[in-house]
Amino acid sequence: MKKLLLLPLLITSLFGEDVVVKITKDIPYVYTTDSGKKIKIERIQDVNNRLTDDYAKTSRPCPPFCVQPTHIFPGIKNIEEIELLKFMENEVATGKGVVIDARLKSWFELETIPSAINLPFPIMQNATKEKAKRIFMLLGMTVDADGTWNFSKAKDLAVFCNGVWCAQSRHLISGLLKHNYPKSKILYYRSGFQGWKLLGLTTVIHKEIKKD
Amino acid sequence: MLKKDEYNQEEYNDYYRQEIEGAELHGYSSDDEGGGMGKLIALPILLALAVAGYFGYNMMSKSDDTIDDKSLQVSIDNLPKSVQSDAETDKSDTTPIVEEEDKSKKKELTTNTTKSKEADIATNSIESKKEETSTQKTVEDEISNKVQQVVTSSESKISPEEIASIVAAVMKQINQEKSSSTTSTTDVAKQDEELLNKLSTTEVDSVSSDLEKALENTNISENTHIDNSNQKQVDVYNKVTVQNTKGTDKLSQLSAQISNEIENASISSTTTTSEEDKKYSKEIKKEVISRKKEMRIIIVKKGDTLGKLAKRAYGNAMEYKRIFRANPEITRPDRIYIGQKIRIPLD
Repeated sequence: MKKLLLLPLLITSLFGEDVVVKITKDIPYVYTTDSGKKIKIERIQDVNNRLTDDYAKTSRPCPPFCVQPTHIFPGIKNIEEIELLKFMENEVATGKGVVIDARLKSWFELETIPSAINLPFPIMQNATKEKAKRIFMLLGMTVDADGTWNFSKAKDLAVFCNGVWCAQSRHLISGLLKHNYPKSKILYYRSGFQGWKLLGLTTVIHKEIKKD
Repeated sequence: MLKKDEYNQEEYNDYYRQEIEGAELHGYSSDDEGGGMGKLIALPILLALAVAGYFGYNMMSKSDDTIDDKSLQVSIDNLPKSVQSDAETDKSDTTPIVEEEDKSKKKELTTNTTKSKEADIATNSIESKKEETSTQKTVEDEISNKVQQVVTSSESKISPEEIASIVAAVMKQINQEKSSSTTSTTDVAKQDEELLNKLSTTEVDSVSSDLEKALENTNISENTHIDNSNQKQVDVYNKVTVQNTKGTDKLSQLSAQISNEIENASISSTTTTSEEDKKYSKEIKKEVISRKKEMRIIIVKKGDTLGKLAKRAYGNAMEYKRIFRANPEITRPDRIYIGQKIRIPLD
């Protein structure tokens, strides 16, 4: 009898995924990939959890760490978390889009949004035309026979940096626009990594800080 | 006295509880259906309170009436008995205060005053006592009248002792009435409370159960947190390490190719286009350095305590509070576990 009583408990513990903190009412979690690994993006389930790391920091000197305008460039569409998650499920999964972390490599390695690839803002800012061409070709751009850059198959880019107080996305996007990457293919996640962290969403670590 | 950075656990707990409750209530009211339900629940509560108040008031007024009636009845019934009863038995009931009154009355009686005067003295003495309790003045007057009637109606002479015994009996009755009236009012108050409690448990059940559930959930999460910490670290970081996994999928390849391009670019060698960009890059580097200094995560090894970690990080074991504050998942400073990741705030 005891075994019979324990059976439902066992079944529920095996199959019952009790998500207390969902992303939205209908979305408990989303799957994506990072470095070939399937990543389940969900929110931290501990309702007592609080941010304590440097994304809990409120104040940095402005300038340069100033609050960014809502629309950093005319024609650049803003997105937030839900759009970004859908972007991962649709565009990233099918190879039509890519999430771009505009921060420096060290920040990216330390912790970033799953499925993001790193394109540090100074790279595009300082890139020569040849360099930009190479990077754009990696992002799906083709070069026509007459030498014109064809962005018809170029990937949609969802760009983010540290957050509202961070201008790195703006610098990267200005670099992209300088080399004529189409505005319609650039999305700006303004809340950035701080916004992501604040919701307790899953992050990935590429290089863990170790004790000295 | 708490310093700015000192940590008050109780205050934190209170604040946190309020926050949870507030969040739950807010979440409940923010829902459209929930808002409607809230109103529906609020209405019966208000009605229940109104009913409880009405009944409570009625009970109060009723109890007051009954007290008055009883007091009158008791005074009427008992007074003749006290008059008829022996002086010896009545003496046993006299209080020290009454004895004092007896003495004063004896002195007055030695001046051969009339029966009516004695009765007046008795009533006066009662009245003087009653001045302290102004609420029962009417009762006192009635009792004094009764005493007067009894005294005047009795044929035989009444000795001062007997008068004293009458006074004592009256006093005793009044005292009893007082105590009974106070107990009756407290009973009414209790009844009101019970009624309100009953109503609140039935009518507010849905709201309170939600709150209880919310509190239970938080407790469960805390408990599981502690229980699991013995076996498995609860993932409060929600971080996935992907450093050792090299993907072969398109995205991983793209990432690798772009990172190759970045490395070839060698940022330091490239010339910045403007002074502003130069400055920004400089500031970013500064921020990177400060960031590295700000927080570090260590993995607890055998023999580590927060004090030891604090001594290693800051040179002072008493600084363990800083580490404790930075790690809300640590419920008690003396409970850390091997393999646990702890944030060490630096700077």
